[in-house]
Amino acid sequence: MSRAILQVAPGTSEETVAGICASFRDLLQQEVVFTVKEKPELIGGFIAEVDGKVYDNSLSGKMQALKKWMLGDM
Amino acid sequence: MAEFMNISDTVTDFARSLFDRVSAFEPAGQVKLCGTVSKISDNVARVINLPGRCYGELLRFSDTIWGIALDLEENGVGAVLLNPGDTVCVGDMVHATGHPVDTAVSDNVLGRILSPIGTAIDGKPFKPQRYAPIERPAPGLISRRPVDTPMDTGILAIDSMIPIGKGQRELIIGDRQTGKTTIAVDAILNQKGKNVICIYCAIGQKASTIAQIAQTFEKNGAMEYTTIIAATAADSPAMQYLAPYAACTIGEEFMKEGRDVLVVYDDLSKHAVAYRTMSLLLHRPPGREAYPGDVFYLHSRLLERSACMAHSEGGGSMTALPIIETTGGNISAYIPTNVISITDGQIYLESELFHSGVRPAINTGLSVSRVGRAAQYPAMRKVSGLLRIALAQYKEMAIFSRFGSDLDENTKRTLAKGEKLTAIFKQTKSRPYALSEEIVLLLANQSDIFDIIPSDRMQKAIPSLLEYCKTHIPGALKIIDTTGDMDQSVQTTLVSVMKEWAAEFAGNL
Repeated sequence: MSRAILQVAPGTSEETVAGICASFRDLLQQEVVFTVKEKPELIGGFIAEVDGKVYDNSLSGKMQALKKWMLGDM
Repeated sequence: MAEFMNISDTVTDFARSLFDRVSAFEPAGQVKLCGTVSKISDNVARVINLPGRCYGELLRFSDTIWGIALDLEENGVGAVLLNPGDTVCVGDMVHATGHPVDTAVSDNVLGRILSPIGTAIDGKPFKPQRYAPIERPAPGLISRRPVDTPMDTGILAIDSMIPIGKGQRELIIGDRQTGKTTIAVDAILNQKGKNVICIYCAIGQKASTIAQIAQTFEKNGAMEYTTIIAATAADSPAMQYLAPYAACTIGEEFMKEGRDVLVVYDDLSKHAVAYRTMSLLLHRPPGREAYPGDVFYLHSRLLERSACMAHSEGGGSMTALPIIETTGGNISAYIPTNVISITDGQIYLESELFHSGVRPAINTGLSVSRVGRAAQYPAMRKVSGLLRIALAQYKEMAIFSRFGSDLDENTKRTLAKGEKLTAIFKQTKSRPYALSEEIVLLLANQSDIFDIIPSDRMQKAIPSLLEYCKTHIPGALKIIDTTGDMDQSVQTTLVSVMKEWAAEFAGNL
């Protein structure tokens, strides 16, 4: 069993959070206990910190990546 | 109206172009590796559960705090922080970047003062074009060629008796306040107009000292071809440890393009102390004088990267002037002997000479260049042959003469000539000589031009002679400066003009 932190944007429904937790259990093939935190900075999506990896599926993370991608070509 | 339509079209085109570019981006979730800080003290953090970690990997503690993984353990790493770690707490996430520490390299580093990790510290905006890892293997044997091109320092004593070539490593060693940095700075100032890139690496120095050096470069127009890499005394030991490697990496990038580079490491004693501090905090076993066992490798892998590249590899070169500070004139201490054995010669500066007014305070007996006359211009070879012997004989005679007052004519002549030769080698700070000026002075000595000038007038005589030659025979001086050689006719012309000057100068006394 491992512990993980799940950060979600405000307004994320409980069903969505449960769905994310279930997906990670399937991915990692083990029981994971999530501590859920709301972070307005994410804007949307989620960030999960599990087993030494950070899974960043947040809108703010994607916007940062877009910014780097745009600047990288200039 | 037409102008308005044009502007409107431009905006529309721009908006369309921007929309196309943004549409081409494929947003996807990212997976990053991270660990957790389990212990933090003295700017050293223990990070656990960091998978795929590598030695020397750059770790991100926060947007402004970075560290290097220097201690690999079974389930974690010991990381030394590059920035003050006051805000790092136990439990913080640490992200692995997946690459080693790197620094900014490109043409736009020239004229700037940068930190070892490529951030600007001169108050102006800086956008790095490229990054390169700061640790790289040294060029192999086949990629090198022998050192055969002079690197002019503009300091007469060095260019004549301890010549440095492009691609050589020449150590500058001496006690505190003996003029080590002055020699290095003057060597940089003398590269103006010679297409040599200069990098001054300040390790553990006072920020005020670095600011003064930068000002000297600005005032003399040296900043346009110089980069300063600064890790001040207030910076962490990790930054001071990285600084010379960052400077070396920047130099290597220019060397790969076929350019000549001069790097000054000021100074490697402080670099060794910073590395010792880091190693002790990482609980590595201390060796002699508490330095870690690999302190030789610390400097050898840095200095071996300076080379003279073969023409097939671009033909560039990187000359290194590492500086070591000794205590009490002891050059047989641990770090000095290490670096002496790595370099291709040393310039030894003595406090006694400095305080007696001989500046630069070079002890020519203990200084050596292992490249030697292969790195001298033909004109310099013609006039510098017997200088060391002459100086050594003079010093011996000067000691002997203190014991008696009855000296024969030969001894008096040798003593007088030795005093004048010592006076010729004295040089003002920030006033490097051109090659033609050096040749004029040494030829004057060789041709006994100064015999009729009293010793106490030499400091006035030398600039007067140089000015006279520049006014009366500029063509001959230009030939020496451009070709590096001096044929018999040029030599004869120079000697006759110098004799005229001597007669005029002595007559006016």
